[in-house]
Amino acid sequence: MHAWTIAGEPTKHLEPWGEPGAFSTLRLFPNRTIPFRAVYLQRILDSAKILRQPWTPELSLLEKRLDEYLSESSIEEGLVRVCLFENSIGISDRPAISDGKSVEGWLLQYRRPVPTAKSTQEKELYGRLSELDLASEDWIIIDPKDHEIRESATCNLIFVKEGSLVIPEKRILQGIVLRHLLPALSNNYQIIRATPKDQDLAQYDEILLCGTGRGVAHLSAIPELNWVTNSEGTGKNIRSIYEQVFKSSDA
Amino acid sequence: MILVIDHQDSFTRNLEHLLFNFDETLVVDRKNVTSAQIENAKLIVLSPGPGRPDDYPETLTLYRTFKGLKPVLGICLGFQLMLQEEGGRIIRQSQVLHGVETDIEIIPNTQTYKQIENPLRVARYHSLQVDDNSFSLLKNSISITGHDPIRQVPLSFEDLDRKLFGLQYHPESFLTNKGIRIIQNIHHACVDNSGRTDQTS
Repeated sequence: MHAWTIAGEPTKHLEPWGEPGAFSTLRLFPNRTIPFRAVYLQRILDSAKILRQPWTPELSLLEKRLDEYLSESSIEEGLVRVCLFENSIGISDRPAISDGKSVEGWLLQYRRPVPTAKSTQEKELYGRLSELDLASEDWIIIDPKDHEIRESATCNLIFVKEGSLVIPEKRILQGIVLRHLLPALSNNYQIIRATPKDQDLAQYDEILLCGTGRGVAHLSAIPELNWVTNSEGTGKNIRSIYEQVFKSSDA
Repeated sequence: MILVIDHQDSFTRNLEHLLFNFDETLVVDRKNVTSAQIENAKLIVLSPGPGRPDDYPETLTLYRTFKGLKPVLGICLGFQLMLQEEGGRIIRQSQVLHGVETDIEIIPNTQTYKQIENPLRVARYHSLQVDDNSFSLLKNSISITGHDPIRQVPLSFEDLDRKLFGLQYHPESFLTNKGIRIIQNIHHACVDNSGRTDQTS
């Protein structure tokens, strides 16, 4: 874990959740390749602008700090989180313990204040992740007013219904993994952009989580809604598409 | 003055509103608490919050410094934090209960539940719980005053020797019956009629 001030001096990495700031988590594959690295870093800057943060550095500075971090770190693969706070940049890493693993979902009533930005200030969301075993669980965000199920705390959601994919589009943070998967998915599946409500879930055969940490993973069940997956075929196929897209990407 | 040590929870403002019925209430982020604020507090309330007790090392440190010296009430996360610090273990609950009303078993003659009938309907918002197998590690002065009879989850405690109280559920929620009465009972136990804090050690 390292952090730098605006002037480039070493400083203490802030506890991120609840602190004003933008962040993104990048996947470090073996041989230290980071697919879509510049896209992830640009996403941080875009979020910072949306959140009207007082300091938005150049992309090259984020690149430099990430290079510096990786040169001093022994991590070979895992997840690297880059936070852009109001007065500092903080970088940390952790193992990727959840990649591809089936996940049980628990409902969290929550509405993102600014859905298009990835904000460290959302403590009510990200601060709750420590309550779960992230390797096998995730918070499924349900809107408290209209009961739409738009995303999980860590991933975008793909709902599978009779071979078609229903993917929420409105009022979500569309992740970089989903963004890069969509062209390939549209070649193989009919895609409907819509957001299911809790009462609609019974009609879906599979629900997939799609994000940097999990890659593409099955949601096994949402016990509170009595929903259990009844198929795995589409998820396995989309997982293989994901692996092709990310392994062939130019890091 | 009641000092609320805040963990940035959406329930904190409701809690402040409830506590204001009993005394001037000051809400301070857990990172900004001063020794003067602690000194002036007649009751210190540890607020609810997302995450686990270990996510709040500042509050754990604070609690170690004032427990036994000041009356303390922990709510939800605050409840877990106090019992963890007293030797209990925090574990995942078998079922997440977010915004759920349940009837709980209480001990009516305790300080917390004076003039409140058993069972009591309360609002719960927690995924973690105190492991009841770890109760043997707690001090004898701590008694469990309420629990979930179906899931066997401890939901409130009191330690009258040290003026420590804890509620796993949310008394500030309109879904909890007798929330005001519960706080009144606890506040009364902590502060005498002239507003002077009882000596707790």
